[in-house]
Amino acid sequence: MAYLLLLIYRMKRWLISIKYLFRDCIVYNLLFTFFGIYLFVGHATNSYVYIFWIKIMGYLFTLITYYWYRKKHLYFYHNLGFNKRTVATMIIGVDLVLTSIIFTVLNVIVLP
Amino acid sequence: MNSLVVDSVELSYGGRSILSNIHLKCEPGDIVGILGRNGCGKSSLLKIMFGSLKGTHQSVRYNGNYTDQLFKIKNAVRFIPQDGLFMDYLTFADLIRIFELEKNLNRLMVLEELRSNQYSKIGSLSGGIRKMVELLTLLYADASYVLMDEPFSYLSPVLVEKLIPHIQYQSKKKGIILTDHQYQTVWSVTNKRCVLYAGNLKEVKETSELEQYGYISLK
Repeated sequence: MAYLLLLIYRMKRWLISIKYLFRDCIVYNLLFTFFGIYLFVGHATNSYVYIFWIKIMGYLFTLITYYWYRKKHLYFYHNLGFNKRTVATMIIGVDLVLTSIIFTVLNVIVLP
Repeated sequence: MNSLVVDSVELSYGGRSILSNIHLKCEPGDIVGILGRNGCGKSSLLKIMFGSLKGTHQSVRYNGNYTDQLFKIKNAVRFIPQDGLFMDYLTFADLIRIFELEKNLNRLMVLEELRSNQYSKIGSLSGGIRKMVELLTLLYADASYVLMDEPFSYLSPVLVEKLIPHIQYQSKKKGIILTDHQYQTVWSVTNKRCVLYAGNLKEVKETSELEQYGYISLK
């Protein structure tokens, strides 16, 4: 238990950053995931290639939009010790985890 | 003692040299003021030190170790850019938790501006109070160095008066480097002053030297 608390404390900066990146950026990327869900429900396994490219477009759109319109907020993350690459990795990483969970659940529900 | 040495900094934009052969050393206890005309590269120099901007050439040493991105070293440096950095929906109470300012609350909450606005969203604060929140948050956050880009802009004279003792108090254990155009305030708060002139950093001892470098006109 003490080890877990220590681990959470050490990850505090990461958890804080992910929390605010979710609110600022990742939540908008979910729109692309929902569009992928729409395709998946209609076309099941045939839609995987389209979903892949929709997500790639989503990442590009989200990262470019964030960089242009919220550039000054990068200093907030720099002050927490993260560079641009780590911030981009967090955005994509968290979205990939969410997308994987959503599509795993959908696979169980939609596919026989 | 954590030393910060910046050396051989070169920066060019579109073939125009902005910074050349810059050397600056800072140690805890130092308050270094960097003065210079608009567009001479003061903000760029701070960003190069912080690690968010890459110069044409640079050498930043922290404790004798070379680093490209000083901000990645835990508690090495904090940087307050002139245009702000916090999201509008954050409150000072959030920032206290994020930057672990609990141990400094007794000093911070003396300020009426912070005490009465601690649960207000930053986006709803006036420019001056917002700036004060940003400055004090990162000034009191754990770090060996604090870089402040135009800390006195947007602040009324009374807020500047309230801010200066906090800068001086924090300088006892930190190195502080700041730039601003309110040169008289910079002169009174700092113990080392430099002027960026023609891309070079020149140390100045007397205000008359500022005139010599074309920064002020005393006539």
